[in-house]
Amino acid sequence: MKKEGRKGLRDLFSMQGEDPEFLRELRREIGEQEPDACFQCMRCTSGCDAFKFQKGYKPHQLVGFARLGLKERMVGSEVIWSCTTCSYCREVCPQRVAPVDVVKAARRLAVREGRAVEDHRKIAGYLIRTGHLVPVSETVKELREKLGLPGTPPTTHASQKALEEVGELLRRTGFARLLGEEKDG
Amino acid sequence: MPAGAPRVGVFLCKCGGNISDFVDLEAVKSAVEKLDGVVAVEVDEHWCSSPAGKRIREAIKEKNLNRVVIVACTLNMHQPHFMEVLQEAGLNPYLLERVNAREQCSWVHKDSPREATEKVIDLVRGGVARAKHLSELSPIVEKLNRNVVVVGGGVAGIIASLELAYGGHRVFLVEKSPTIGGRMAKFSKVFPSLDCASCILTPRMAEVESHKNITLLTYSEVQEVSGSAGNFRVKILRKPRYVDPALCTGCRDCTTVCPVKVPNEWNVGMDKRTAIYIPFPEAVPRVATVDEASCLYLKHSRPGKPVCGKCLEVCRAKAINFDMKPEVLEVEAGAILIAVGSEVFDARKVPQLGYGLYKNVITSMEFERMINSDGPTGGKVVNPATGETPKVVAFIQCVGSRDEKYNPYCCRIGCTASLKHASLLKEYVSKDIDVYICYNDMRTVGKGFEEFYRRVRDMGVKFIRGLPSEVKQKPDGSLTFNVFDTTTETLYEVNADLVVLAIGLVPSPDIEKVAKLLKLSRGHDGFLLEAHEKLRPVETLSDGIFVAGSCLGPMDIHDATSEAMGAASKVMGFLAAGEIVKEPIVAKVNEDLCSGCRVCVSVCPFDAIKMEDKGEGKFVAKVDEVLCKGCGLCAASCPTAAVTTQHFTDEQIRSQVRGILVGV
Repeated sequence: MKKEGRKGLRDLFSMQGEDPEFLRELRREIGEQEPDACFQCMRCTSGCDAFKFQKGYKPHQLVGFARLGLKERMVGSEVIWSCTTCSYCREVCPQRVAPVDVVKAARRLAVREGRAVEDHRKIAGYLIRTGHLVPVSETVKELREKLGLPGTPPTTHASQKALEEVGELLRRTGFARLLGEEKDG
Repeated sequence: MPAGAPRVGVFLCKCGGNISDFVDLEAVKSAVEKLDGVVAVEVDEHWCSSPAGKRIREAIKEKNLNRVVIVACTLNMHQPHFMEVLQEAGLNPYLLERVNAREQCSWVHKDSPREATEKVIDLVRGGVARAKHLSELSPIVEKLNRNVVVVGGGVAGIIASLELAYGGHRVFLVEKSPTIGGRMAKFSKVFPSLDCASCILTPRMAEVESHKNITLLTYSEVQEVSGSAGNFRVKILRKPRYVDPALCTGCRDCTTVCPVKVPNEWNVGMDKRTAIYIPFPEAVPRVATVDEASCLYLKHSRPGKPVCGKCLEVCRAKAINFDMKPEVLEVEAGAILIAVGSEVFDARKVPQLGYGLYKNVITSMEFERMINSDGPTGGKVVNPATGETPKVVAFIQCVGSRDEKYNPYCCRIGCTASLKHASLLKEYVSKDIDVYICYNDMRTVGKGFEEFYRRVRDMGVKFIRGLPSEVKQKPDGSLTFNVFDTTTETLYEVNADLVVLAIGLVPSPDIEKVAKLLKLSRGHDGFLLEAHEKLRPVETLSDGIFVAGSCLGPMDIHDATSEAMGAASKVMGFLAAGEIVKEPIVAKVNEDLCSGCRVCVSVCPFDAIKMEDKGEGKFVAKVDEVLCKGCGLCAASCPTAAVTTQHFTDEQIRSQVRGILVGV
C-alpha cells in the first residue's frame, strides 16, 4: 500500500506516495502554524546557516514535503538533524510559517519510531550518563583549575543525587527509552 | 501667400547633442545665412523647450519673419507645438517648414560627420526654397454626429454602451450572436470574491435591452464603414433569425419539438442544442433564433414541399417566419467603439496534454460550464468518461501560453481562474478531493488576488512548481503524468481522474475582420493595437475609433470593464467638442482645368472624390474635404494638372527639389 502510494501523488525518487496519516500526525505536532500557507519564496533557505554548512538541509523543501505528506523525505531523511533550531526561518517567513517547527515535529516523529540519527543518540547518551549534553572534559577541568576553580563544577558532575534525579526524570518522560543507548544494537 | 517678400528664419537644433555631436551646426549656420531670403539663423540646445519657443516668437517679431524653418527632429515630433508657436506670434501655422537633421542625418551618418553636415545644408536649402512658396491655410471644421456604434456585446460592449447611453448618446450595439453577454455570461463565479457572474451581469444586460438610448442589434454584423471621424456611415448586416422578435414570447415550445441536435456553443460543445434555440434563460433578447446551417426546413424544403416545420406548428405566437431575408441597416455615427473580444485557445493544438484524446482531460472553460448550475451537468463536477465525481483533480497551467510555439504572451487569467476552480472544488464538491495545481509562476496581480491565493493554499490545494510535458491515460482510464517540482527538487508522478487545462485567450477571427474593415493595426500577437500602450490605451491610431476589452489582449473582467468605461469617456470627450477640426492638407480642384476624365475618382483610396454635374454635359471632380486624407494620388495622376494637394503643391515640391540640388 505504502509503496504504491494512494491515488494522487507519488514521489518518484523515494517511490513513496502521500501519507495522509503522517500528514495528520505532523499537523498535530506542528501545532498552530500552517505549512500549507508556504508559497516557496525560499527566504528561509536563503538565510539558513545550517544550509551554508550542510548543503542538503533546505528548510523550504522540508515545508514542501510537509505540505505533500511525504513521510520518508522528512522522517526518513538525515537532513532534518542538521537544523540548529536557531529560528531564523520563522523570523523571515512572509506567510507566518515556521519551518523550524516543521523540522522539530518531524524529528519528534522520527524519534518515536526509533529513527534518531547516531550523533543525536550519542548526545542523548551524554545527558543520561552525566546530566550534561556537553560534559566537562579533562581539558576543561585543567583550565578551570588554572583559573583557581574546582576542576569539577558544582553540577550533576559533582552530585550523584542530582544525577540520579535527572536520570529519573529522563526515564519517567520516556526520553531514556526513546533515545537511550539500550536501543543501540 | 502672405504679403511682401519672404523673410525666412532658420532655427538649428542641437537636440542635446543628438544632432550637434555629428553635424557641424556652425558650418550649417554660415552656409544658410548666405541663402536668398534668409534673414535670421539661430542655434539652440532644444528648440522644442518652452523658453526656446518664446525665443522663436521674439525672433518672428524682431526680424519681421514671415516663414519659419525648424531644423531638428522628425516631423512626427513636436509639430503641433511648433505650429502653436507660430500662431501665438501671429503667423499662420502653415508657414512652418521642418527639416529633419536627426533621423535623416545625424543618427544615420554617425560615422561620416562631414557628409552628414553637407546633407543637412542641402536639406535646409530645399526647406528654405519650399518655405518661400508656402501659403496660409485654415483648418477644416466639420460638425459631428453624436451617435456611437459599439461593436461587440460582451461585458466590455455592454458596459460601454450603458455609459454612453446614460451620457445621452444614441448607441447602436452590434452583436454577432443571438444574445449579448459574451464569455462572462458563461461563468459560474468570478474571482477573487467568488460572486455569482450572472447575478452581476444579467441586470446590466436587461438594462441594455430597456434603455431608450440603446438600439440593440443582435445577430448582426458590421459590414462596411465609410465616412470619417465624426461622421461615419456604418452598414450593419442583420442576419435573418427566422423568428419575429416582436412576436416571440420566449416560451421555448419550439425547442421541445425541434428534432435537430447540434453541439451547443453555450456549453462549449459539452451537450447539444436544437436548430431553433434560445441560448440560455437570461438571454437578451430572450427570443428564439433558427440556425440556418442545421435547420431541416431551411436546408431541405423545396417549393410546395416543406420538410419538418414542427416548430411552426407549436408556435402559438406565430412568430416563426422562414421567409425572412438578410437586411442591411445603415446608421450614422460620430464614433465607433470596438469591443469584439477574443476566444479561448484550442487545447487540441497541444496534443501531448491529451485534450481531444482522453475524455477526462478538459479545458478550464469546460470546467467553468460544468461547475455552473445552469451548465450541462447541472453544476455537478464529473469525470466525463465515467460520470463519477472525481477524487483527484489536477490543473495544468499555461496551456498554449508563454510558449513560442503557440502564444508567447501570458494569458493573465489562467492562474486566478485555476485558483477559483480549485477553491470551488474544495468548497462545493468536497473538501476531501485532492487538488493539484502545476504551475510555472503563480501570477496573482489584481486587487485581492494575492489574498485569494493564500485562502486557496489554506484550503489544502497542493501546488507543484513545474509543468508536465505530457499526460497519459492508464488502462483503467485514469490519467497520469510526471512533473518535476523545482521547490522540493523532486520528480513526482500525479495520478488523477480529471485533468483541467488552463487555456488562455487568443485573437478571434472577428479581430482580423474588424481590423481590415476599419484599417486598424494589429500587434505581432494578432490582437488590436492601442494608440499608445500606456498613455492612450483605449484609442486607436484612427481618429474617432476607440477600443476596449480583450480584443486588445488577454484581460479579466475587471480590466475589460475599466477599459470599457475609459473608452466610453474618451468617446464622450471626443463628441463633446461638437465639431471636428481637420488639417487643410487636402486636394483642391481647379474646375476650369478639369476635363471630367474621372481618373482621380478611380485612384482615390478613400472614396473622397465625386463628379459634380455642372450642366450642359460638363462634369467636374469635387473633393469631400472630410474624407480626403491628402495622400496626393489624384494630384499626381490628373492629366490636366487640375488637382493640387494643399501644402504640397507642385510649385512647393519643385522648388524644394531644386533647392536641394543646387550645385549638383
